[in-house]
Amino acid sequence: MKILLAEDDLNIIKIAQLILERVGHHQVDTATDGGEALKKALSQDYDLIILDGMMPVYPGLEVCRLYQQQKTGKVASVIFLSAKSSQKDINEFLSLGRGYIQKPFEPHNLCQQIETILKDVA
Amino acid sequence: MKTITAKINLMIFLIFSSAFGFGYIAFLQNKKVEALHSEVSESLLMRDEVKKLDHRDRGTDVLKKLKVFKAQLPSGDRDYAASNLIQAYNANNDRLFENRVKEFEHEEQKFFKVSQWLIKKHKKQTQFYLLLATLLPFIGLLTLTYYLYVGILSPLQALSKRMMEFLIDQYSFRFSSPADNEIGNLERTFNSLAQKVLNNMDELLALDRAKSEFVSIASHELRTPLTSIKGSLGLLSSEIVGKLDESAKEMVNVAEQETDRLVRLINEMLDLAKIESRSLSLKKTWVPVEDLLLKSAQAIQGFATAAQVHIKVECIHQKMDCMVDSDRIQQVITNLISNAIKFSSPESEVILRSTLNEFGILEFSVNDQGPGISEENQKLIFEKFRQATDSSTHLVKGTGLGLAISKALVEEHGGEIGVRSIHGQGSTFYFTIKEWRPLTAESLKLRKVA
Repeated sequence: MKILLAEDDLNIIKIAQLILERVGHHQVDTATDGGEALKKALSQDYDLIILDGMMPVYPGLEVCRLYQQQKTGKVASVIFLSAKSSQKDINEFLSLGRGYIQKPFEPHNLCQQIETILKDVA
Repeated sequence: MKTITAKINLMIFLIFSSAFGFGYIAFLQNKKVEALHSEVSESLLMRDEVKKLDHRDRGTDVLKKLKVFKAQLPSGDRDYAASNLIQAYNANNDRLFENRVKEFEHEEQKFFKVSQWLIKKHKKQTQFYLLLATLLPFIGLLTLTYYLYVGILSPLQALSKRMMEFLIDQYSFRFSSPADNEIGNLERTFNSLAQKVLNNMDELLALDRAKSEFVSIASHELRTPLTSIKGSLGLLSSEIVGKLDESAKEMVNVAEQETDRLVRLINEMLDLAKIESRSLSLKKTWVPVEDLLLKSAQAIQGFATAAQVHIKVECIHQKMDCMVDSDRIQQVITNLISNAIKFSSPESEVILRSTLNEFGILEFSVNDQGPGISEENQKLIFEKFRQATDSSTHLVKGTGLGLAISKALVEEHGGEIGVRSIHGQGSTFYFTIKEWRPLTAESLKLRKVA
């Protein structure tokens, strides 16, 4: 899968990218803020976009909303990755995206978790 | 400002002064009547005596009486007539004497007539003043009663009604234009009191919000670095980034376990903060009791197998639903079972049971054959960060919040949680759920679908 990973914490990007590439054998692009993420998401076709909940420029929810409004052609699934855990936040994530992964995620089965989410809703 | 008190004082003064004042006047009038009566009777008596008087009887008693009578008369026509009579008596002149007797008679007759008229008048006045002395206080009393009702009692009733409204309508009520009297003062005091309550409440709400915000921000800030730590350790331990030798692997495992514990601690702290700030909303539905037991036991089975502990489920009343948030109550049950497993030796048994207690309330219990809990510790273990130290297995280290969360969740359901234990003979943790009913056909159907 071609994945866009948007996350402002460089360490988390490094780790998540490693896992997605080495374990899931996915092709991973990264963005470190909401603006960059939106630009990349609109200019290229991805299979999956993973968005951090809180990022500079645009927060994850805003990126997702703008992306879904403006994207023409193939629209990728969006999964949120966030440290927020209140029921209200989770509901918001689920209303816009395909799914939600809680930080800290389980490194051993991150890929499996993503597969489950994509399978579940499809 | 004290207009009500002034009015009441004035009314009471009027009531008493009219009663005593007019009463006293009536009393004086009555005294006059009595005095006149006695004067008239004396005059009549004297007239009788004078008729018997003969001027040839010298020094009779009648003359002495006449002299005494004359001395009591006020100076005027009567006095003059009496003196003339006495002089004529002494002069020894028959004709003069008879004339003087007639004159005396005439004066006394005149006096009698005037007196009768005066007595009548004074009697009438006495009655009039007596009437005033009773009627005025009575009217005053009626006015006072009316005023007490209209001026005091009904404003008080209105006030207490308004205070109730104040409680109901979220403290927004204020008296708009307090009158310039004691009731008005009360209303003004109430207004400032209400404002103070509202201010304090706002402060408390702000504090509460600040606390919840702090907890959620702190947990968010803690989770971000933990994501990197957990991720790096996961990459290391799964040897994706490179081979590790045995002892290095062991160290990485330790770090991974402790990281997981830290994550659990943060989650539980957040949970507890949510429950304590009452921002956790329970999703209560009717759930079959047996399902709760089986699901909870299933969820913790992996841990039990690792610890070589058997979980036995005993559902005494199988056909029963209870009104709970299924996930939250399962959290409580698995927490109790995991505690029980931690304190059990291998090959021992943990019994999960549901039953109706002696009061007909649904009770869940988890019994272990572990070391038991001393009486002093039984009180402490439900507090935050209190753990019994003699855990026999070290598979999963606790966070010290499990029982505090369980207690909060059970209490949020309106139930009670507790422990029965004798040191050295195992422990039974139990909690109660108030709302239960016999299993219905509907829930049976739902169960089959599930």
